[in-house]
Amino acid sequence: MDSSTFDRLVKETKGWVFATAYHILRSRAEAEDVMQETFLALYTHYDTLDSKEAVYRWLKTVAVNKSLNATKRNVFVELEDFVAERVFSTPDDGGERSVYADQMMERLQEGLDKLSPEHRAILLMREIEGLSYEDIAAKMDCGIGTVMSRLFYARQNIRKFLERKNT
Amino acid sequence: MSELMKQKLAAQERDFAPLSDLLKRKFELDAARAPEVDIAAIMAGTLKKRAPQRRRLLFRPALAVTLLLLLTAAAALLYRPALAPEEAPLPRLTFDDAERLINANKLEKVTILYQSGRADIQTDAPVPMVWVRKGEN
Repeated sequence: MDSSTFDRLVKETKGWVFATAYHILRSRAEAEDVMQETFLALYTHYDTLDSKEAVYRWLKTVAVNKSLNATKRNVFVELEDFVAERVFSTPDDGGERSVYADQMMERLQEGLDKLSPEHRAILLMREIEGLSYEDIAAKMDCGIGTVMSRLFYARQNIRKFLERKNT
Repeated sequence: MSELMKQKLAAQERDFAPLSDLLKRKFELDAARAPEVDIAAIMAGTLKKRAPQRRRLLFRPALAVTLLLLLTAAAALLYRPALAPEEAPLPRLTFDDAERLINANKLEKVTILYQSGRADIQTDAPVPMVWVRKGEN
């Protein structure tokens, strides 16, 4: 793959590759690692992918799998990240978000932290990517029943967490 | 079971719609904060992982257990009860001197260094029997 093609692909997809990894891992440093590893894998496997759609599908699957693998090899929360995220983070979208939206976003973040990486991955695939239960089951290599129960649990727990915070 | 679960999930999905929008918004914000990809390092095959350097600072059970064991060992060495001071070595005497001192009832203890023979010594000393060198009896 030539440099300009790779550069263009990276620019187009790095946002959601990173966000996918961050959604599952809840650690910027880990997510950054997964993002770099995913693009390294893309660089070496690019020739086996025959279309742009295949590249996108492949990237999404690899980003999720690498993130789930990263959670298995590193079970510890990084102190540095924790401090950076919780103490020093500031909204960076020009201050357009309302205080209420910021609070909700923060609570949502906390709610996501309470879920397991597998639950977060399924939530991501269903709510953000809009995949069917069957597709999620194929990607996660588990049964449809497992996908359904995990999705139900994930949504229920996030809702309960937010309701508790609001009272 | 699957159909029932699908219905429950569909109902839940409707209630969850506002949160789903929030999740999407959050995902977009995270995507906008994506760091740069090190394209040059990937293409050159020199990409290095960054997180392990930070992980070294983290609490590791194995390291913690080792440190705890070392500290316990050090504390045990520092605070163990003082051993009884070693007794001063008894003066070494020749057989004749020993016999003379025993007979004079001046010895409390006799240590025999050579045990190649045996002889009884009649004495009033507290040591009723001594081992002596063969040929010196």
